[in-house]
Amino acid sequence: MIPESSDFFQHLVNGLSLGSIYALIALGYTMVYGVLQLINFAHADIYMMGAFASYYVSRWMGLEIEPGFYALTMALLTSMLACAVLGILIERLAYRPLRRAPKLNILITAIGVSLLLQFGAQVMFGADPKVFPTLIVDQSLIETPFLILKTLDVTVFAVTLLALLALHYLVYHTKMGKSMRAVSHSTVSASLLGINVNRVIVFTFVLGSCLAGIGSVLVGLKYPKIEPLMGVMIGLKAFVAAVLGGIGSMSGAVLGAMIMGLSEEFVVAYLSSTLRDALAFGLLIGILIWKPSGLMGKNTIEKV
Amino acid sequence: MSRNQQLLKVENLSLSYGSIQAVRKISFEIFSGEIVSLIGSNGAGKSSTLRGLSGLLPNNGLVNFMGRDITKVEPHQRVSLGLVHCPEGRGLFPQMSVKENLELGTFQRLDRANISADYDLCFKLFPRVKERLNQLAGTLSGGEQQMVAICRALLGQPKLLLLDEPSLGLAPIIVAQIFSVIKQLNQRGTSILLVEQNAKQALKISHRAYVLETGEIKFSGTGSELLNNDEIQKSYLGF
Ligand SMILES: Nc1ncnc2c1ncn2[C@@H]1O[C@H](COP(=O)(O)OP(=O)(O)OP(=O)(O)O)[C@@H](O)[C@H]1O
Ligand SMILES: [Mg+2]
Repeated sequence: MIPESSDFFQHLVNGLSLGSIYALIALGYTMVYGVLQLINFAHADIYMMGAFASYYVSRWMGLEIEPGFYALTMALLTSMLACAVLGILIERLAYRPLRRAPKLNILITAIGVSLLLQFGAQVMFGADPKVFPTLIVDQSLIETPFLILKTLDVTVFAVTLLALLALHYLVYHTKMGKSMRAVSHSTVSASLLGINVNRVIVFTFVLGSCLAGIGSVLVGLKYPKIEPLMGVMIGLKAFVAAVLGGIGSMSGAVLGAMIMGLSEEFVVAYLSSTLRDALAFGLLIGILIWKPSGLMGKNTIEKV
Repeated sequence: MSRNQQLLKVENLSLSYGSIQAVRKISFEIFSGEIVSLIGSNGAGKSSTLRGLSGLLPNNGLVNFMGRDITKVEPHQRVSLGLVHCPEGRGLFPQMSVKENLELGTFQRLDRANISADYDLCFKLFPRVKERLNQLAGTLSGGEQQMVAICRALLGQPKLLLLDEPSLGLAPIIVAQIFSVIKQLNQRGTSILLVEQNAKQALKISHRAYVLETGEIKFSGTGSELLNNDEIQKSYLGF
């Protein structure tokens, strides 16, 4: 089947936009894995909590009345703050006490925290979906025969790009970021240089959680229906994206997420929408068979 | 600090990896201004002793550094106290540039102003390091990596520097350079605890030394006493 070119560009934009959102979440998995060799299963639920936090604060502040830059910024800040606080609490209360425990115990704890957040959210917010407020008016910015570029897509790209640039600056040009890269190579070597490893780990959780918080607002804007289990599928796909790129590698996570977003969009467009979620599992199985260390990963991989 | 002041005092220190005991109730001391060597065969517990001193292994016993009990002090805090460990295998970050590796050694320092003088000292001791600043540490030769590791430890401002086999696997000319640097550092006031397979050369530059055997101290004495001891000569110096 030969796709019409007009559709092609539209799907490209949609795929990249989806990929951006996966990237924001995938980075959290990969960074925490980098410093702790732990798959933080609660990450997707931190993301969900961010969506609810910004939902309630937006309504409380009446942000929907005047959509625009200010409304978006407030929602983003709220979500980032909520996610960061939750990330710190989870690290401190659930993971740190188990730092020297066998890997399996920590893994089970991570799953436990994830379930706690999912069902805690159902109790607190109710199980039925809520409609995320319209914080940005979605208009067509550019209309050509090939492509319609809308405000929301541009917002998703712009916010993701800004977040990635900020992340790059933090990780490569600040003391904390350099310490984080050192810790993710070797906790022991880093501590022998006087680096406070616990502080770096907290920083990593904060960073990953903030990115997930940004992702949750973008998803809320693009697919305005939020509910306590909203993190499950997207978290799984972002995790697959991180594995695809090579878990522990930050550029790998972004690459994997873009591949994931694009292939999902194109598979749904040109093959069948029933394959949407199967694709993630297909990719995961494929990468684990052909290149278990991922596209940009190191050669070792911990069995989980 | 004047010579002969006690810098480190270790009493009945035992160290283990889970159920495997690596070091059994050792006691020793280091005075400020000294080079002290720790020699012994493979698996004797030399590296474990250093890991204990830097806090990587839980300290069972007494470790006193500059008059302060540090048995409960975290590894990163020991570095700030001036106890800097340049580990076996060097512990460089291969994916980072030499510059970044060195920089990481300075992050815990509070005296920003003196850092550039310490860089100058490093580059004076090892001009090669300056030439390699922008190269990834993982692409350096073994000798260059060891130089970077020593520089990075120096940038942590050690009062007592723990060096684990700095000459391992290096060409004789580099080994000589490293030993000469160790002596120069000591003359500038840094006390050094040196672990070496290269016992003869280590003893020559050491004020005192301890011999470790299966986790226990078997001999101690001045460098020249041990160099001239029959038993030591037979077991460790290959006469
Ligand atoms: N990570 C570890 N886990 C378990 N046992 C260890 C570990 N590291 C060292 N050991 C054991 O502790 C003992 C002392 O080892 P250590 O590395 O301190 O010896 P060493 O004197 O430094 O030897 P070498 O000259 O070979 O470096 C050895 O029996 C070793 O098998
Ligand atoms: Mg050793």
